Amino acid sequence: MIELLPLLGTDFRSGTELARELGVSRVAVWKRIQRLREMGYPVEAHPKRGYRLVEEAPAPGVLAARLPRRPAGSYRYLGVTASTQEDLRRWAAHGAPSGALVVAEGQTAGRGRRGRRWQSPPSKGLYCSVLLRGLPVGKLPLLGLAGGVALAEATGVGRVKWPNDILGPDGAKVGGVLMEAQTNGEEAHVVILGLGVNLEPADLPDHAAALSRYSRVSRTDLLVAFVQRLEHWLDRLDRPGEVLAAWRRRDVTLGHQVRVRTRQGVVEGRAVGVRTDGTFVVRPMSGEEVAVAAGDVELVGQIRTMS
Amino acid sequence: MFKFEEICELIRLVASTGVAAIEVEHGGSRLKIEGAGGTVAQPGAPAPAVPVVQAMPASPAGLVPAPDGLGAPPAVAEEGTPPVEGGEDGLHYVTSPIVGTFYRAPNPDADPYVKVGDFVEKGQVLCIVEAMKLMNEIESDRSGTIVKVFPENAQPVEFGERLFAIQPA
Repeated sequence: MIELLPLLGTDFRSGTELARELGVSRVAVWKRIQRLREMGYPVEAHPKRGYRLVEEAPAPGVLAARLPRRPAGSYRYLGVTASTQEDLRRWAAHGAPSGALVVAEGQTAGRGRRGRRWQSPPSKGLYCSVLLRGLPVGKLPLLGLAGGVALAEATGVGRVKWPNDILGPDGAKVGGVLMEAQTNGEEAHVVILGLGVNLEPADLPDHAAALSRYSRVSRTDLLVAFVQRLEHWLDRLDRPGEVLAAWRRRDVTLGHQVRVRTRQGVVEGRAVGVRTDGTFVVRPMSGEEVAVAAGDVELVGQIRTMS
Repeated sequence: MFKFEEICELIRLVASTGVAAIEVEHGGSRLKIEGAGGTVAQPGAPAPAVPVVQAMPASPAGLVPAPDGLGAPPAVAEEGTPPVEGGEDGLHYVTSPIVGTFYRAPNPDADPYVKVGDFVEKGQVLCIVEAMKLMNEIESDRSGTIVKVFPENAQPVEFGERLFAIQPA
């Protein structure tokens, strides 16, 4: 059976034309459109002009035209799914190529760090996951920083807060990056970089904001820019200094008083740097510098930047 | 003396892992449980034939020579016992590839990926080491039986630090 979804773009196509290409009746096309809508795809129907995906939808044809160097078949555009991380993990187990990309209209169980939820209301944000294969484990911390920089750059206005929160100019959280890897010995044979960005106002948690508060970036533009910036930084993982410098330019914490909550306790002091191993260095009022590998950073006196 | 439940647990361990034999000394008693033929059980496959249980006096004279390939009986270590030292013990060590925080389960509400006594396949996920927003699933690079879990859950681990000891299959 020929799929309807690949035939739909952001330009209208008549039901008659789609029926002819699929070799089915117009009623059957209508039924399939209904099924796509149930799956969460934003399909518009116009009595005279036919069907299309809403203009900002990252339809496969649109993305292929904007990112021509990407190999065919390396992109999956989903309706509402549980989690793009889970979908890509399954796809990876069945041979998805490095660079494979999964984008969903919405997620019902979008993930944050350590099982936390990432709210992903349909069509209100960019929810996607990218697969990278065959990276040395030692490069992963730097890749995490590079992913945050790439996303901050793609948004245009974004700042970063360690480890990978993306903030608006006023410090409200607009997005985040999550990395899940499967490593065996020294090689990460699967790395899944996931990101979530709030694009339009929705029922967001406190201290969060939608990117539309600061700039009008369409979902497809943001996705294309992110993929391009990520490719840029992937080529530079061998030059950690460049990645760190780009990160520092976007960072909001360095030089400020911070409170870092870790599983081992709270560290308070001045944020003094980030190392190539990805650790965040804090200098307490007294005592030696502490390099934190995992935790939540809060700017002291600026409560709104709690993640 | 061994409790009945403890003996049952050990029998299950031998039956489920395919380990050729286990010898345990406890409270002046020594217990040896032999499996059936030392073939490796696949997870989900029927257990090898019923293990043989022998109770023996806890004296060196009572020691039964271990079968080939098992210079030392697999340690049935409980968490909290001293780490198994050295690389000459026939054990394989899985170490942390990065600095981070060690987690035994995929999320705070889930069961641990593995526990002592579990048979693991090469490529099976053993734990997560989290660094920044990197959740790093560490896979076993050997098939065998987990005999020791070194760090406590949610404990920081260093690069190269031992996470698991595995008795290779």
